[in-house]
Amino acid sequence: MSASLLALQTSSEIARLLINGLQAGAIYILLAVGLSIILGTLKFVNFAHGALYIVGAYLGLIIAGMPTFSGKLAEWGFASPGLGWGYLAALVIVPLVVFVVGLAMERFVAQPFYDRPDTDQILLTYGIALVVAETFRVLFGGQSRGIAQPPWASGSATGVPVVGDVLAFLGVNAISTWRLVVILLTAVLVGIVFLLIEYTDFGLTVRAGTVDPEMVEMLGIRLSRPYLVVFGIGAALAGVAGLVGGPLVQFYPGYGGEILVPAFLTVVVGGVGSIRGAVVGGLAFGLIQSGLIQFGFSEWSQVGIYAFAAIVLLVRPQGLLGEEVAV
Amino acid sequence: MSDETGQRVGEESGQLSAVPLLVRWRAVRQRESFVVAATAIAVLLFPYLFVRAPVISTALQGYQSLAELIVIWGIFVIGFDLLHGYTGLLSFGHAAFWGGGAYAAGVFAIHVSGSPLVMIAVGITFSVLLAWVLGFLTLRRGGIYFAILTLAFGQMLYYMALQPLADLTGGDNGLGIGGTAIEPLLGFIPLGAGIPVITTFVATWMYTLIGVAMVLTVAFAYRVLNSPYGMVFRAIRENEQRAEFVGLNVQRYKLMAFVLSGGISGLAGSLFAIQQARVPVESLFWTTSGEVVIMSVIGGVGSLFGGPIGAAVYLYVANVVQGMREVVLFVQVDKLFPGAQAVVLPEWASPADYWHLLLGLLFVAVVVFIPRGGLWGGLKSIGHRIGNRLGGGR
Amino acid sequence: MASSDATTTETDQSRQADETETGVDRAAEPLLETDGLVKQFGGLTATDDVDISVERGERVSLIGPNGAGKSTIINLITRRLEPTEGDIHFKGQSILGLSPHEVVQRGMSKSFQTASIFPTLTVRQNARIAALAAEHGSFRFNFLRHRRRYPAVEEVARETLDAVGLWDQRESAAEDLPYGDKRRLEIGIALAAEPDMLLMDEPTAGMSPEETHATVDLIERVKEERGLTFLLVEHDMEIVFRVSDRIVVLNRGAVIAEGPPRRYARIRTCRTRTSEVSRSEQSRRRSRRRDRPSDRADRRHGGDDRGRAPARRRGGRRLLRREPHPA
Repeated sequence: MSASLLALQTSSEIARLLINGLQAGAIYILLAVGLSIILGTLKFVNFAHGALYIVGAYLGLIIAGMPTFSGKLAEWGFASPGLGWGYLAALVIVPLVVFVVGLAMERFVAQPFYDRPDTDQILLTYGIALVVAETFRVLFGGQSRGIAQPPWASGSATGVPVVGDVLAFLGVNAISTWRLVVILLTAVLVGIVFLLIEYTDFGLTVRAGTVDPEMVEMLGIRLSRPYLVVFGIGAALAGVAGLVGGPLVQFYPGYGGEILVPAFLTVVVGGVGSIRGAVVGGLAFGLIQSGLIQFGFSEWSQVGIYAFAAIVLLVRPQGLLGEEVAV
Repeated sequence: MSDETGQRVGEESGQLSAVPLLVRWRAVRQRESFVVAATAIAVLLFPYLFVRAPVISTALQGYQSLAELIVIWGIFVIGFDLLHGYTGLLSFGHAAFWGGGAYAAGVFAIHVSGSPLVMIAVGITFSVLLAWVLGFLTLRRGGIYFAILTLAFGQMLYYMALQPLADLTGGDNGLGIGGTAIEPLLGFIPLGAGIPVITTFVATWMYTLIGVAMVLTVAFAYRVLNSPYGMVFRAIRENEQRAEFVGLNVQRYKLMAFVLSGGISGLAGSLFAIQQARVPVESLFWTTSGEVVIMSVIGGVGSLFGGPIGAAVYLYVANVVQGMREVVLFVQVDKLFPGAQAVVLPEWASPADYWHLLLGLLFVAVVVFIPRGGLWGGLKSIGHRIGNRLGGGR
Repeated sequence: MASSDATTTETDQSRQADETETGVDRAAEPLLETDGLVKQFGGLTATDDVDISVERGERVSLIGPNGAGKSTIINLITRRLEPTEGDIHFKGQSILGLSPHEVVQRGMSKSFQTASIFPTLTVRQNARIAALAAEHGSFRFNFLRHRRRYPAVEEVARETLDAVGLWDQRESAAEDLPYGDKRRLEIGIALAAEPDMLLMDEPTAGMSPEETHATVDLIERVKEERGLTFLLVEHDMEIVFRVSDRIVVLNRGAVIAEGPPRRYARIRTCRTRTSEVSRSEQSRRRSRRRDRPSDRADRRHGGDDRGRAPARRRGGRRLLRREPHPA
């Protein structure tokens, strides 16, 4: 009897670990997939990717709710620019807007720098990230904010049909619906991007361009448009990450830089240019982090992912799913 | 400090007798003793001009501790530039060595000995060892990965200091060393005391300690850059693959550059700990790494003097311009020597909210338009133009 | 070899010296020998059981259509790629455990397909770095000693620049040289390492006819003066016939024929076809020449792209040529 109780307890622990890990990993994955496809196909290092997260988060905040700000906007009489259209509206609008922001970024920031050395790209995008963060600070004030969870997804997941029953069977009760929504949303979005890259003509062009851009152009296919779209998609994913992460983790104008670090590490650990790699890396990070928290080592939760990354790089410098690179 | 003109001029100055003085100046300028002496004079004059000189210091609104901070950061930027400017490796994790050196020196002061020179030795040693380990991990992959990995491992150290090691580091509050824990220099000279003869210039022993460290750093860096090592560093920056295929052990040299750079950053970090008598946990945060990148790029990549200039501009904006409520101008055109006149800034022009944004825009502008030269490069090219005008070109 | 008239006496002496020095082991074994070399990329076999041997003082050319595995073999010999199977012997010893720079230190230099130089350094500094590497091996010199205290290095640098005829341009920045001179400087860099064997990857690619002639003269002169062994990869059959003692023909990763040039007299008659190929080659090369500055930037900072083509960025502006990927 006690053995089965223990088993039940263990299974609920594991389920909780999985769900928390998946949710924590989901944000990393959303950011890392975008970074990875941009880095893999365009060979462009985007240190401003975190800024797109911030754009998504603040945009979501304004569209979904009625926040009040304290920065210059308030001084100019727009203390409360919120639209209050609700979270679903934000979920539709944010990716579209950030997609367009991504297009603009490719055209005006990335493109002039494709032929410059990698370090110049890093410096430029770092500068852009800085300028974006500071602009947000000036406009909206520097304090931390969060997006309110939409009412339909707040509360415990036990009330949700089917899912609730499964969770109850596993003995899990303290899982919020929102976490499940985040996981599901990430899975769907990453799945769409994966199918787009792997199974469509567009994806074929992009992948071919990754291997041999000159040959693709010689075949008469212009690559500038697919590249533009890839950048836009990566940006949109980062925007969604900000929107989805907003209710979970507090953000402030400079948070983009902070979240960028584990996202980049996810890419490197998973293997550059590989969507699968980004997913595997993000999941590993999420599980390690939530595992350490769950089992009483929460103070090591951040250090843990870096230690894991160090081990991976020692054993497999090209990343978990990366290709062999000639040395 | 262009790479090689010294030797060139030295060899051929016989043929170039058109403007012998200018040529000789160009030759002298490249000599190590000259570079060190010039640094010493600049270090000596800087706090005077910045803090105490009549008129100038009033206009600049400088103060002593900022002068000290500028020189400390200047050392840090030189260390950083040895790696980025000369070896071509862009590190986004140099906060690890700055903060690591500061923490090592601070923890040592609290638990063992507060002798400044020993603290510095401990800080440097710690950073050198740390650089060895991190270099081994991060240099396994080149280019962009290096930037990402240094950033990541720098952050790892930050989180280490923030939580698991909070007992040692003071966690979120930073490490308070306390002025009393730091002993007098050599056991009998209080750092706050004045120095005979040159007090007008440097004011305190604290600044003297920092200034001497700066001069030694420049001498050391200059020596390294003009040794075969320096040539190899440049070769790696220029074309790593080719360097490997002339038979150079590129990995080892990169590691060496990383370690030297880390050591200098550790020196700066331990000076920072001594000067502040505390170590904020932000000194390990990635924004600190970002700051040194910004200073270095603004000042000029790949030049020893550009770095400190970048540090000066950055810290000046961050500390003085930021709080400016009034600007001192010399607008009394009716007088031959117009005195300083304060003009109060209107509310909307107060730079307190914008200074960081302004630095960001300046940084972006430099990256786009003068990525290699920076401000120092700009100054040099103006100097060249004047020199060419005088010397008929060369 | 009219070009070497001025240095005839010197040449003779050095040649004699070389012959007495190398005469002993010349009979013993080949300088370079590959033994059943196999390299697979995923499912694709790039080289299949390749046995090549190069005797001391011999000039061997590797020819074959694109994708025949020539570059793979060069990359295997220079240790940029790890063979799947087989062994490589240089001077009688296996070099499989060595890293690329160690192979160079044992006396095997390489000149690249593109002019791989140190662009912003002066011509003399370029030579000096190579001489330094040769003179002092790796990682031995003191980092606090001024470089002027290494007179032997200066001497080698001077000799090298004399040999390739660039002494007069010694103070120009390497990037300012005309393309042909850059390639000669590159050969000079390879020679300054004082190798026993020189691998040349398309030494005349992208050159004008005059530059090509000058380069071929240089190759012949260097062989005469230094008794150097050459392994050439070249598309231009005229050069192959003129320079080689022996030709190795590769196709689909395997050696399909080898022998002295006269045995391939028939190929000469088929040259129309070959030159058609090489004409398209040349147009690609020309496109590369146009974009050299960006090439340089990329090479300088693209540390991780080592071993791959110089650049695979967008727009197909730069030439990408390496072994085909498993498509």
